Amino acid sequence: MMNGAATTLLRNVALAAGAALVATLILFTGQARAEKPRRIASINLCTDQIAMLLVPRERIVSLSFLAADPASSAMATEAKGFHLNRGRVEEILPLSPDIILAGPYAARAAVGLLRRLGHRVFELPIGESLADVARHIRAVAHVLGEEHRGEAVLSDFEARLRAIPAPPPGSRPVAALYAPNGITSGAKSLPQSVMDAAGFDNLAAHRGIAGVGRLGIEDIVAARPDALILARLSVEHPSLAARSLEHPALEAAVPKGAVIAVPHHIWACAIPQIVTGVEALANLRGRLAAGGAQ
Amino acid sequence: MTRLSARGIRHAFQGREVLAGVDFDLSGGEVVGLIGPNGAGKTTLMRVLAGLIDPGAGEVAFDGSPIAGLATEARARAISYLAQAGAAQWAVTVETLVGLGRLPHLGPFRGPGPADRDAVDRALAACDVKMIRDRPVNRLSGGERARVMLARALAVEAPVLLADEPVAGLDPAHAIDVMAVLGARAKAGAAIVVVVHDLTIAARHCDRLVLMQDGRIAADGRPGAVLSESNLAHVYGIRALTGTAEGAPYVIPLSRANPT
Amino acid sequence: MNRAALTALLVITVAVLFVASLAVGPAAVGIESLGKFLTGRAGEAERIIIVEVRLPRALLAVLIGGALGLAGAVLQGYLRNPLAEPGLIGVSASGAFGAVLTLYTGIASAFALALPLGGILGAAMGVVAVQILAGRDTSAFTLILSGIAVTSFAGALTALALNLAPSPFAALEIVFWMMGSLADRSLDHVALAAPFIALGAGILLTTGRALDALTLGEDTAATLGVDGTSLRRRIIAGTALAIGAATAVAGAIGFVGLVVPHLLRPLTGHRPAALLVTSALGGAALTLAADIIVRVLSAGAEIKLGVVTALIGAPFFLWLVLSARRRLA
Repeated sequence: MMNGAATTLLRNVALAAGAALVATLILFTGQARAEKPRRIASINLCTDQIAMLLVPRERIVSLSFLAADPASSAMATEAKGFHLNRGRVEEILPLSPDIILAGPYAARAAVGLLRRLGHRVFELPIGESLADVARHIRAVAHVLGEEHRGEAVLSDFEARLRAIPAPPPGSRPVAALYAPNGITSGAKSLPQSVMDAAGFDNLAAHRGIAGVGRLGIEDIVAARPDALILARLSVEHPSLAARSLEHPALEAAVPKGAVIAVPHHIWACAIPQIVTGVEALANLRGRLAAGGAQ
Repeated sequence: MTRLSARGIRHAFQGREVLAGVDFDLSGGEVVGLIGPNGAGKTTLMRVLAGLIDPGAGEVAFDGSPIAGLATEARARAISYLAQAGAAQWAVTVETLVGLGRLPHLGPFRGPGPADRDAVDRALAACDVKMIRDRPVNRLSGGERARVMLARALAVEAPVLLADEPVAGLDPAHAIDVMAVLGARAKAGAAIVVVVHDLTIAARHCDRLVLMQDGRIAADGRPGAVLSESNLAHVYGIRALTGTAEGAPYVIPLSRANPT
Repeated sequence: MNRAALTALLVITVAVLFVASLAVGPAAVGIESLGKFLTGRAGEAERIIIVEVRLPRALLAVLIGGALGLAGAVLQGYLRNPLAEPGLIGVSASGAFGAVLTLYTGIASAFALALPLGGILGAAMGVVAVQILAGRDTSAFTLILSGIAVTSFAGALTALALNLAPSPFAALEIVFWMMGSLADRSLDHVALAAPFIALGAGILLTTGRALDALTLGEDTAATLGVDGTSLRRRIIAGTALAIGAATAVAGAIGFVGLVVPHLLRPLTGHRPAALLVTSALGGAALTLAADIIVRVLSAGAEIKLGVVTALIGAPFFLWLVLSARRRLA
């Protein structure tokens, strides 16, 4: 099924997952930490981007191919020029990395095999809230020996977050998130947390969806939400998934001016760039409150 | 009056000359039997006469104008063709099948009218298949199928009818029936060529015989003259008992002729 | 059954299924909402769901189902083979490949008509390939083998194109192109496909008499005034236009063109010409019904339309093969 497969992909890129295995942040197969890893390989989109934020280019030997895909990655431009992998062991081994950064879902078999072969593998859990941004940055900074750089990245992020005006008390507008092929995110997810921070209620959460779920065009039209958030895929790489956001009924489902397209990659990882999503949504909420949308 | 004439027809197929210069005229009112051993070029000549093959050289003319220059519909109305061992792909009724003979007479947006229905009725009656007109064609005996196929060719009501082995595989009674239908048609003015293997059927039911050998016409004339002892020996390579009964010739093959 | 009565019955069936198609879906918009809509009392949400979401679906089911039924009837008559069908002989798969090429390279984003045109070009290559491979041989065996070859090759090229496409979503979308779906199609898709399907169907409908004549074989048909070259061109153009445009917006939907002419043939006196309009109507009805079943059966992620048509069509196909074998034995 295309839609089922798309769900899997979204999980693979660790978009605000449903399965809630949280608990310990660092599942770290550490011997005693010797020195800073010099040859870092990442096979997960979120660790790709965090690594690029924390260490100089020359210490990264490989990134996952999604890091360079503008639809999935907030840092596709920065990722140009890196060796790109598809999470296969044979791609990683010849690079003789000091550490391999992985996510919770993708390439489980590869992670197991790399461990058996004596490699150091760090696994980053799924990001489920804005608070995970700090946790994830600190965890990766710790294993890469870049704690100071990590704190610097975080202070920027937190300053921007604080600058966003707090939502006014009282009833909050309801927003529906529509990602390609009718995928949405409900309670206990990164998008939920972003909507919270911007002062929106999430239609999917009202519907009892937790984590990743499905919200069809008819469901959205029938619910008549106050705002519609489209997780837009970049146009330069066309796909049916990208076109699925173009259905005229979606635009018609909400009042004029209440549709906002936020790049798909914003929703994927608990990384500092997610603040642009909060800003965009807070801005829309402000306009809605001011009666800018009918 | 000559309806169909062929001049200097040559045709090669896969490097072999199948027709090597054939001249042939056909007039209204006559049934011409086209005979000859297997591979003599009978079916190829029929297909050339019907306009199905463009010959390598030579020309076929209908009423003086080359058939290659005729519009497909005009040619279809002029020359009716009954293919060898014809069969129907779909289980349509006898009447529907015979009605296909009227296709050349229909305009682009005009369905069959009363004239077409009359023509179909005449063809059904002529071939004695009127009582099975509603039967699907996949439920016919061999004799019935042959008569239905002939009725389809007659329904065109074309001045020229080319019938390729219409009596093959039929018992004598049905074979005689079919040849009688062709004879009646010729009496009504049609020009008819019929490929026949049974020499007695050919001799008794055709006004004229054309004997082919190796892509050429070896003899052309009255049946008694064409089926001479010498022609049978040289063209067919047989000895035969020939004679006349009830005013028409018969041929009974006896044995292979001794090569001389 | 009388042909006029059969046609009327099919028109009524299509109309009923069309209305049902507007009344079935995940949102609670049913027949009473439809009534409110027709009397102008429907709310905005109901109106949008009926007009923008379900109407395109129902229209495409009629257009595409009609194209499949009609093309199936024409191809069966032309190839004089009851197993001929756009899906089985590879025309749909080649159409899908053509559409895939224009969509994932971005040509269709720059120029919307490129999508149906790509499908049409692909489908045309499919028809020509099958004609070359199966040619005058009317045996079912040759036709099916040619169809398998063309379908596999077009399918492999489609998979290759999708894997090479830059979007990471592309590789997952092969199921859409192989099985077909009408889910979340919009009126834009209708506008894109309808003119080409109508043109193709119009061309195919001109072939009736020639197909009747072909009942007697190519030679006899030619002596009945059928121009073989013109017929061949019309069938290639008509099939490519109708099936190519249909596939470009809905993927390859199989078996409709096989099942429908078969079921209707005995009811139309086995005459190829009489089968054309009735098969178009039957195809529309079957596709509408299958698309309703899709929505009734699946709550979350919709199963693909082609899954339902294959579940209906494949056993039917097996039965045909078995009965063909019995006839030969």
